[in-house]
Amino acid sequence: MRKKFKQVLKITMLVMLFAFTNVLYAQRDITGVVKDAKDGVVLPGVNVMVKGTSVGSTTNVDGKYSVKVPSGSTILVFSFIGYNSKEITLIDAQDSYDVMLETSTQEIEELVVTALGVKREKKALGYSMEEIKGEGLTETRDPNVSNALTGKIAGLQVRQASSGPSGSSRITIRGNNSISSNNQPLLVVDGMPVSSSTSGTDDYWGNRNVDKGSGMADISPDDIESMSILKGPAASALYGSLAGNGVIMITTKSGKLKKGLGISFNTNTTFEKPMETPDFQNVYGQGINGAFDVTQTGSWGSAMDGSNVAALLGDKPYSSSGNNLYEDFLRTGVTSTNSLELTAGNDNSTLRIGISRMDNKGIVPNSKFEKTSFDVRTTGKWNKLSADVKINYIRQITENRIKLAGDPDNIFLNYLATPRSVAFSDYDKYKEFNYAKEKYGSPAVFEANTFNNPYWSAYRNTNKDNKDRMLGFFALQYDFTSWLNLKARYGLDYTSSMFQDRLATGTPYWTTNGITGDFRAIQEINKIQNADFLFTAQSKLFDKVKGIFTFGGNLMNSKSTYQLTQAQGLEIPDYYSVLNGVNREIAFNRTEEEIRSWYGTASLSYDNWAYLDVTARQDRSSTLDGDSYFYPSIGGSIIVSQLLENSGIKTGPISFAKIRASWAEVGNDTDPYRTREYLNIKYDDGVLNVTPENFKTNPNYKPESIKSSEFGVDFRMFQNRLGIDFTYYKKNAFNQIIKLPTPPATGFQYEYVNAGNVENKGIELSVNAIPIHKKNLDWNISLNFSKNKNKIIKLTDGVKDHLLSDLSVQFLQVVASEGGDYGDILGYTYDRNADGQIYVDANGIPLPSEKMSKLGNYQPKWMMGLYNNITIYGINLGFLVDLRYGGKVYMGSIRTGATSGTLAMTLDGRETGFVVPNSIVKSTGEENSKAVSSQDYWKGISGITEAWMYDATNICLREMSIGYAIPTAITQKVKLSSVKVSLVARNLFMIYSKTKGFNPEGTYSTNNAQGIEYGTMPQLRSIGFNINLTF
Amino acid sequence: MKTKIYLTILMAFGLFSCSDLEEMNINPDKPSPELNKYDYSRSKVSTLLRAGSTYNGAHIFQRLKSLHIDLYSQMLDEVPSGWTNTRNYFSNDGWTIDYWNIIPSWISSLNIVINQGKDDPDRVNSVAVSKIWRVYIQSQACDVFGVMPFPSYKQIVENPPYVSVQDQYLEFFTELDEAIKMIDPAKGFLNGKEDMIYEGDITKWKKFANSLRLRLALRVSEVNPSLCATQAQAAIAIINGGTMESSGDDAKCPPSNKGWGQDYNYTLLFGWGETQHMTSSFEKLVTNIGGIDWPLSVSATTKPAKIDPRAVVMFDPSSSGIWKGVTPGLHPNNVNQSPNAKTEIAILGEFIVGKPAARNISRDYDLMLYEEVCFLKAEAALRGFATGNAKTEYEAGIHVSFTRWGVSGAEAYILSNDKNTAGTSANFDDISGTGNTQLEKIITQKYISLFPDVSIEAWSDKRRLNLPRFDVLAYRDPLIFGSLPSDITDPRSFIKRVKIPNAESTNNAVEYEKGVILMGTGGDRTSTNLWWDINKNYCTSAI
Repeated sequence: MRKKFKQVLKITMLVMLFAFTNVLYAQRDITGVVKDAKDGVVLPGVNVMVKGTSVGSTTNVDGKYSVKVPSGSTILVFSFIGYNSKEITLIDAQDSYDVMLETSTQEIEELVVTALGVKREKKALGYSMEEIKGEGLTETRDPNVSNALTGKIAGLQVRQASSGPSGSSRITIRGNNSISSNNQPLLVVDGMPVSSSTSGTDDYWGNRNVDKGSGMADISPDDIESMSILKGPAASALYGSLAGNGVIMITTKSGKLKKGLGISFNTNTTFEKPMETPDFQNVYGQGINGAFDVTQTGSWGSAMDGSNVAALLGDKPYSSSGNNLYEDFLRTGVTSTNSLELTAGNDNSTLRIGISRMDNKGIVPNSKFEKTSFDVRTTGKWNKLSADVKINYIRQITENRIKLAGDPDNIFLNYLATPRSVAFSDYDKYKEFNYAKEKYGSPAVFEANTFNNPYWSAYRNTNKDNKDRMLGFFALQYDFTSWLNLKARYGLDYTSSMFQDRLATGTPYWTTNGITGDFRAIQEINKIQNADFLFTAQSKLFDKVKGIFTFGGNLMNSKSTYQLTQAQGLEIPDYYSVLNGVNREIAFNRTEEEIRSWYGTASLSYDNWAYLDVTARQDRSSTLDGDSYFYPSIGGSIIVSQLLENSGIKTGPISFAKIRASWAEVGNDTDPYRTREYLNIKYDDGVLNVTPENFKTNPNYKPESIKSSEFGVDFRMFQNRLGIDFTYYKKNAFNQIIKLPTPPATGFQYEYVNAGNVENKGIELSVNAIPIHKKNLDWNISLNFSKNKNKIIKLTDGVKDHLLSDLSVQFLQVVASEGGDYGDILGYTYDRNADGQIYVDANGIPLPSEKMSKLGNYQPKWMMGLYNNITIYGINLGFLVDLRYGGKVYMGSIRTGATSGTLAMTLDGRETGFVVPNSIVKSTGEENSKAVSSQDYWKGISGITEAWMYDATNICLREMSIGYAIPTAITQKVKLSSVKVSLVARNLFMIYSKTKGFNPEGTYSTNNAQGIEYGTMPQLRSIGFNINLTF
Repeated sequence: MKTKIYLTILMAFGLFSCSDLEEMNINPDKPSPELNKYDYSRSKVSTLLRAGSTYNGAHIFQRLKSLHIDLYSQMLDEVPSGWTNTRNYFSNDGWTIDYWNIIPSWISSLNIVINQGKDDPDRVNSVAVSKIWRVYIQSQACDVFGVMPFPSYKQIVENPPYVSVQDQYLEFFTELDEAIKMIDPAKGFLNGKEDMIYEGDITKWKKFANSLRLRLALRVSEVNPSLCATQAQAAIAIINGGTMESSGDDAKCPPSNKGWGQDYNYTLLFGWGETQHMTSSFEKLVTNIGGIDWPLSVSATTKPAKIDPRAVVMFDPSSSGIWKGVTPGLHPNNVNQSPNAKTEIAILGEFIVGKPAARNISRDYDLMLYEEVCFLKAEAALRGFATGNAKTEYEAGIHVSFTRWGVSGAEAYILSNDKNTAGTSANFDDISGTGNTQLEKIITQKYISLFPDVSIEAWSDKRRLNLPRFDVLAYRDPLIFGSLPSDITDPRSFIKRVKIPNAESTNNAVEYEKGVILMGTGGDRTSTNLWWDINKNYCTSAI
């Protein structure tokens, strides 16, 4: 106390002294302009301080400053985020100083956007979080911005559904927590939780499912200022029951303090082709048992000799001519994006208008994807009140999304089974006959019903969807005093989409009243409203102790409607109106859910080296009938380097060192309408049909609870030219709301229970290095590595295995089993004796095991991303390599191609057969000497799951760009402030993979059952250019 | 003042209220079963009558009926599905799981109707029909899988235990007995639209219940002849209402024709190109029997000289004019290959499925026909389980069946001593030669009369009596049948049951293991006998 008094006295005296000197001595006005040393662009908002005093100023929109320097002071300090501070010594003869600031190599006093949109110093955080700047997303852009995260963030995995540029992606952070629910992070845009739905199909058989894309992909990369990845629960604890899987926070751009109108234009055009294609055989054609047969699906016929055979449409040479899907059917995709940005701003208001348009011509004929985004944001300030308003309107039109998995219209699957002697021109001819020349009026194909004619799939069985989305908010902030403010916000995310799907008259399988053709229209409206307020107080509490306190509340309401109208069986052929259906189906569902929360935080810092954060949130969710739940977190960090410095100890080459630790509990609620029993009703033909739900309800749900702890260190050395960030985490997800298969004898197929304990623990390592930093040569390396170990510690009493995959897939199960890992893959192995020799049947064909056993796990053991950025004389080269090690995948495509005899791997033993090595005849116990033909072998092992399991390890050259920023001196002559031209590429090539020609991460679904590849579209290599002009 | 403003803001956020959150969590588009403004039992019974009759539509129909029961009864073979491995007695969970899952949910729904209506005198007929229908559905599932868990309405157990086949049958008889006694024609029942089987005619339901009782009684003829006799006699007894008396009493259910998969489903399978064909076993049974010449109206290049005239209606010649059966259980590589290509084998007749351009989508599903009852009574009389005249019943059955298939000549047919490939003639009194016992005649005629919708009864007769004569499959699951006989007169040559889906052993492990014990020594295998199947062989055919 006494000490404190002394200090206060000291300060008071100093201030008085200052005041006194001010009176005594005249001050001088120093002016000047601050510019970026690299490109000479003026820098507004730079802090200019007189060293040793509290006197200072900031630069205006023109980068100009003016500061009254007290006599006796001779040093000015210029500081600005992202730049190295610079001191200049004033000399008497000069009153004007122009200053060039150099960009800093590594930012320490970095401000990052944390939960609820609160900006914090990164060094104060007790948890790991990473931030990606917007400019990294626009150059080597992906139509789906979530794919741009691939390989860039330690611990984050993106699995892209193999459905092309309009498809969705599954993101997980630090492994899978939830057994039955969503495992993807919450998406927050400008502080407001918004829809990040992903779609795909859970259905192995396809069944007319298409992937309608990710909600996150709607956000135009041009509008993104930065993305923060809140990985651990401690980082995301303030989102309570929404935060179970981490949070991706997007901060969009706003207008800048700038003189006049800022205009920026970016154009990007890329060309897409499959990155890799399967290796097909071109020796044997359609048939079976070594003979041509026009009715067969497989290519097990005789060697194609060019002789005339009775093929699809009459006689044609038996040859492989014209059979290449990639050359004879697909086309080069083109994606072009043009974006225009207008910004304006003065001291009291800013305005930004961003317009972008993306057009994609898909590689599959007749498919396209276009997106227009219009974003307006304005801010204003009136004394103590400031406002921030934003409206972002997005319109998207997609035509002919590809059908997935086993759907008869999936051309990528069909191609694997199409006989090698069938040419695309054979199919194409059917156009002349309106495709329906076949006897029963169905689309001509080499084998009816299993697969459709690819032209029929592309041009007749079409689909189209329109999406309109509006994202916006308005926020008001009132500054009561310099230390207390209140912010209130209202945000809206409104999405309306219309999906139309046609099956042409003549399409087999979907027959109603004996009539083919089908048309359905699905309208979905989804509205998420957020209203919140937040009091923020920050002040110095005691000497060296500073505090920031917040208190707030949020109401999040989400409403959706789903409306389906369908014409089953088209009476007037190919006339697509719902009223034309011989049977008409309707469905209309409404859901509403709401979460109401209170929260508060306290952040304390001591002497700039010790930090402590405590947060608390209380949630009430309608899906849990309004019961309330509490989510706390605590975290802290110690800046060791600062502590040592304060104590006068030199830290040598270590410029920064920090240790951090945190603990948190967050949750996960459930879907609406799960707590009561309901009946499904349908009134038909004078009778009300009722069927009970196939799941048993549970009125006593608790939210899922995820408890996590995290520990990390952060080191920077050699003037920040080497930075290492290491994190260890452990999180356990308890009380999972598990959709448990219940014995059907209970009358239900599922029940929802609260049970389980799923553990994820792992490490994350990020290394940033600047091996070379010279005037005309700069080399940046950043590397991230993560390893996650998952374990299912407990499921429920009595149930040890939980099926994650589609029930109807019987040769393969993806499970979460007690004692196992999330995503274990079970299937039939080869039947082997104790010595590991394979048992074969009397025909020499390997036998499958009687029971299923574990064949692997779909999750990678570890992941790595390596990014290099080299700048030589203004030419910038960047490339990203990503790697996932370990994990298994079931390659359904390879199985289809091998059993159909179309892949090159089936060439061996066509004529003479081969003896399965090291095999025993099961019935006799003797060594097998029976040669089996290639056909009988590959067909024979089709049911042995193990035969189609592959190591999913892969290394991919993911991104590359070569750019050149034309020097300002030249651009200014044409009245441009900057011009940057780049060559850009994504998914260049697979450096290593065991599934040559196929994507080991290809998936038809974004659900929890991954590790099954089946008929996926190849990854697309896109190469193009990007031009950025700033006026 | 300021405090007031803050409070108002907070109130505006609605953070203080809570009860409305609970209200928000009530689904506006699905009624709760507790809603007491409406009697759901009528809707439930009505819904289940159709679901149970049609295997709930194309999805389960094809998987269970076409890909299991029809193959096992050797009535039909689906082409070109070369991958149909159930054809070779392999198990395919993917095709059985949905049926396995849906059966107990149907039973549970009926249990609710029974329990809710048991004290309501106005619902007596609803309860009675629910009991009858419960037996109908459950007995079919029992004859497919055997030992199975079944929810009881008497004792509510959360996870019902497996019930032995014997106990299930004993319960079937008690339930039918109670239901038959309960039926009161003076009380109301479902209206004509709701009861799509008998249009609300409760007296016909009584006859159906007795006929079903007779069907199930004969099922236990080998394992428990005295139970068979008691139940058969009770079923026939006039005092209980008796069995069906004419084709007017047939149990049939029209398809709904509402939505995908709700038509008469063989027509849908044809739409998919999965055509249904005659087996060589069927061909052997209908060739030459009855001594009637191949009809001139049907042109075929390859055909038998004499044929049961119904068979030419049941199956049409192939596209290349061949009227011949496919070898059952072809190896996958030989499916749809000459001489068994679909162009070379007789195809399910247009009489049933209609022409390609005009499929017979509204054909009724046969559940139990009067002629089946005739043959059941014939067998009961022949073997002394009940009184009656076996020959009269036998011949009545043939007459009704001929009429049903729109053919004439029954009078000559039943007097003919011409024998089919198995050695069986149509004349009841001609018992010369092998394969020509009166039981073989009855079951052969019953087999033909069950075609195609009631094939499940044909498979059960095959298991119970090893009748009629079947070819042994060309290729059978080597793991199970590798060491079993391949002899037409050895019942162990044929499949005995469908294996329980694997999911059950993981999701319901404890009960499943107990169930496996109830299955006996064979365990959960396709070669394990059901309780009422004791490997009896009545097949005397020489070839």
